[in-house]
Amino acid sequence: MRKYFEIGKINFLNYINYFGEFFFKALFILLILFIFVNIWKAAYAGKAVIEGFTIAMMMWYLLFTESIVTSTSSVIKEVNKEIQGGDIVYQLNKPYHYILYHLSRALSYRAIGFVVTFSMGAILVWIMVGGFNFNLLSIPAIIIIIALALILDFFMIMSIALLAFWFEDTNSFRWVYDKFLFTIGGMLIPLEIFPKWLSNISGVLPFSFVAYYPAKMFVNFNVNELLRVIIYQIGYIFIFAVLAFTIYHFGSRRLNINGG
Amino acid sequence: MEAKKIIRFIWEYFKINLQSAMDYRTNFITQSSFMFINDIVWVIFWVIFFNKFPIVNTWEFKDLMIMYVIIDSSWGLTGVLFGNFMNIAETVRDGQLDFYLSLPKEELSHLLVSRSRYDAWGDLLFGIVLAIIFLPLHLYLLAILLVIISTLIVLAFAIILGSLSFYIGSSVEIAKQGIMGVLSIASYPFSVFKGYAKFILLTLIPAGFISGIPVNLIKKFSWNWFLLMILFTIILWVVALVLFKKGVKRYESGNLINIRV
Repeated sequence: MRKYFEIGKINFLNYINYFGEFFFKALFILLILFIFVNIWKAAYAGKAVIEGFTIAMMMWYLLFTESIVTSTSSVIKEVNKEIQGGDIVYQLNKPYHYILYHLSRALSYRAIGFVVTFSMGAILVWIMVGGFNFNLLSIPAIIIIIALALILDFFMIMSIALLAFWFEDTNSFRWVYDKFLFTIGGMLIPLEIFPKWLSNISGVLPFSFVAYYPAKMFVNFNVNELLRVIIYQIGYIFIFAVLAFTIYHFGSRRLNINGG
Repeated sequence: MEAKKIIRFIWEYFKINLQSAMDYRTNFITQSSFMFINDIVWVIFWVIFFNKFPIVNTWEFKDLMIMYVIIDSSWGLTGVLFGNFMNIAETVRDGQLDFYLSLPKEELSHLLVSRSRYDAWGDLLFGIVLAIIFLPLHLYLLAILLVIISTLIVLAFAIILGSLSFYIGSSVEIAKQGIMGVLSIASYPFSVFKGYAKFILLTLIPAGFISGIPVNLIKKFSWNWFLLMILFTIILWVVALVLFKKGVKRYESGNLINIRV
């Protein structure tokens, strides 16, 4: 466990040096937030509250989901390159597990990405729609939920990335995965806006535990729902971790090492 | 005469790129079909949204679908015919322009057509399918014309951002974020933008002319807006060509020897 923490720490310090990359990424998110402020202003059109959300809550919700989802690292591209290029074999004899190594790297990258995007976005959202009634005591619980959301997202992405053992390009699978997060994951709009039947289905799928629930907890903390969300997140992490390790197990058996 | 030669050149390269796509058939089918599915998911999102809010500042669901006809078709067409449009800044920064400069063909068109994006086929096909579903037959000609103009705007904007690499060392990140930013704004209802935001989207960031104005023209044609759109396209292309051609004169070779097989 300690070695993965050290890998994460080293990568964290390394990523900090590439602050510009995070900054540019965050600028793009500001643009999306700006678009949605305009869309929501048109949609609210005089209404104070829609499905329990004021316009300010709706924008803080969006900032939160965007900060989680767009903090994603380039793990798919890296894994794709390592498998296709054969560099993965150099990692087989290292004293760490390939998947957990990437998890450490991804989490350190995403921690910076989340903080930069959220901080920059918070200024914009505050200026455009103001604040909301935030429960300060919820901060420790929110941090746990964010961490679990990032781990869950990682294992789902890793399960896709490892398909590179069989497919030439897994990036296209990623587009569709992302769109699931955007839509039924509740990244762009909360599930309350969905028709009831779709909201019920989306509410138990893993995507909503990456985006919707963490952001919902942030804007409208509910201690009764907290435990349920954490249990679901841990359950899904377990399922997708098993899936990723299984795919890796079978995929790595296809490797041919020809010396060199 | 020169234009005719360039169009012929684009066509010949298109055929070569298509042959290449067929050689990598699995990759081509995967990327294009997944982009098509990706586009479907977007439409599902808007179905949900418009189900809750049927009118967003005069725009209805059907208007948004027409917007997708324009944006997906033009984005798809740009990617299919001029697939290297996202890589201009990188090519200049890495000194890889030598390859194009050393050949007798005009370097900008050669650079643009030398690659075709497989995923763009998915966008183009999706745009066509949406047109068949949502666009009345008598508006097809106008829509095709608007898609061509919109494609030219996307292309000119990409050349401008990519050409900045000649002047500031590297515009890779600016070009990437700028092009994706314009695409993003152009993929949302233009009707929600007012005042200064609308002005910026019709000048500095041409997202309004890429999709919003074409949708308005299809909803209700206006010669004034149509001519303004053409004028804007011409201005954008003049800026793009001046920036690129002047940039080539400042370009310093990367001394790279590239062999393309």
